[in-house]
Amino acid sequence: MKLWDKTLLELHKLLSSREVSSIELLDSVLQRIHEKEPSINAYLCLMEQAARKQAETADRRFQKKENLTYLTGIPIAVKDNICVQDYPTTCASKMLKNFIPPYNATVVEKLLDSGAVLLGKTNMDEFAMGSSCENSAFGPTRNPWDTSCVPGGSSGGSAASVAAGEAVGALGSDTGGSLRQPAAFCGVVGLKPTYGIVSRYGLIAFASSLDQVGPLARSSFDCSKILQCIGGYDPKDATSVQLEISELENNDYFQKDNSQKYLEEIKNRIIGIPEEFLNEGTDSDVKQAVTQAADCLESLGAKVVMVNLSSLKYALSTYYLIASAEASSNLARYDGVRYGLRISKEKSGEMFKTTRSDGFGKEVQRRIMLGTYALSSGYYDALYLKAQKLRHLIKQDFDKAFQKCSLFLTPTSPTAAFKIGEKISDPLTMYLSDIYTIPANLAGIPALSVPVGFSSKNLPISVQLLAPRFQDFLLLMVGSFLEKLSLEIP
Amino acid sequence: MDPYQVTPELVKHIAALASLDLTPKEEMQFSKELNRILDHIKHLQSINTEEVEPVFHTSWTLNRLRKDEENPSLPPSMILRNAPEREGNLFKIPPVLEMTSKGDDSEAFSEEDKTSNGL
Repeated sequence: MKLWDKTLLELHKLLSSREVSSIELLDSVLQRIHEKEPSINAYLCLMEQAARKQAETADRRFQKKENLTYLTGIPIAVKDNICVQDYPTTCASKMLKNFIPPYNATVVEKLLDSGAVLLGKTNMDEFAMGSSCENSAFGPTRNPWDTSCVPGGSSGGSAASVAAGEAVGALGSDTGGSLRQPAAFCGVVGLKPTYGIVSRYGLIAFASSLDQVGPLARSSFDCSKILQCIGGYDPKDATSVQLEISELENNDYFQKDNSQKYLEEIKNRIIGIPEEFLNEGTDSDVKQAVTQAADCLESLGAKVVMVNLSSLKYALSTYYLIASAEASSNLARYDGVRYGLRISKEKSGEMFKTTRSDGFGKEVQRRIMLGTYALSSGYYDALYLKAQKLRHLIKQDFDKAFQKCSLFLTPTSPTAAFKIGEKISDPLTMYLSDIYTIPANLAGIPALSVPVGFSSKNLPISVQLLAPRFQDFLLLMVGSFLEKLSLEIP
Repeated sequence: MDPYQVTPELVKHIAALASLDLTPKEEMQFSKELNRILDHIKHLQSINTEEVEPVFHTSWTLNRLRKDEENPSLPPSMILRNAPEREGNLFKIPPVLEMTSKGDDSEAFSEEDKTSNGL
């Protein structure tokens, strides 16, 4: 039975009514994976045997009607920078090619507790640095809508797996747009949650003050169910917010189960479009999509206004200093001593250097260099500290603007998916594809990407919604009105 | 000293700080690329931030201390499973310091030290 093209909600209903079993669902998705992988390459590692056991356990839970959640029996893919015990977690890097985590990330524990079925680990840009999935040490992932195009990055494998029907939902991570931009390129929904509401324990660190784990799925509703599962306070993450996800669920509009009530919530809300977000480098197709989304929200009774967020002009530059600085510090641990690659040398100092130069790809080295420079003696004040001050201005700018508007509407990415090879030789052009997603990470606020249509070249186009901290479920509710889910999976 | 420009000598210095071994060709390549990126972010210096406090992260939490309680941690065998080279319960690495015949200090460790280190 063909089940891989359904949403999490549809499958949950089929599983709950016992019309299909978790094993049948898993078989359908695995068959699809084997069919599509030669052309997509979304996965770095499949966990078939373990998945089968998890599906059997899920079926027993359904039989006994015990511990059932929305995720029980649902096949989920996990980005390869999130630790799954006893399975390789490589960050798509030669450096961690043979690394087997001795523990599960908190988000993985939560998925397993809820009865989800883990399919495997998905491809990404090495150490989550990149916007195209081309920086993987194990070959690029291809966009299911056009295999000559990139799926976006860095969570490109996760987004492509959901878009191609190779997973019902997926976990990714987002430091500057790594969930939202690939979601946009692949035509799926992606949420970067509020900083601190999803544990980072077991997520391999890139830039700790910006990194967040979040869901990718075929609808906003599906994303809300994954968020409910993975969110909540975790004492193992020192930056975890001391709030239970149930406290946020007071804002979960889907639980009210009454679309009339959601509509009341949208009515008379003021939604801002920051002028700075529609710059010259943005495709007309994308601008048009934002206008159409604005029209749709107005037709539901919201008021759409143009706003000014002047600090956004320096968000990208600020981001590259902060993210690279934190990365250079986080990646100092890869020295060939305790785990990962080691290139043997006679002296330790030589071993560190050779191991790092051999194990890290070019983009990772470039960012380590920029970050080390920004933190180095004599340049710290002018570069790193300056960037942290600018982050304060950006945050203040958002705080002020949220007094006038309850949400912002923007493009997710200035363009639809680009061709493989088109931007890889020019780091700066590649960085510019994150220009709209980066501000949310700097401000720590939640941001959602929802597909709203197709470009003239028949590639998915999405818009982004931004909300104040802890309004993640509001975003998902509004997103559910904007999303145009593709009826056909490529 | 303009912070938005790097010379090949400075790149060499940064690579040493970052423990990266660059070929002369890579040094040139990184100089070029870093200068392009720095040129792009140069506009930051014109923004006045004198009165602004830095924000290092956005979760608004203060240092949170855990309770001083004993908890089981992962067994050494699990941790050492990923070690490139090990000896007993230790990670083994090549020498850090030069050994000289005169300064051979293998006797500096008592037998007791060796045992407690798992040797």
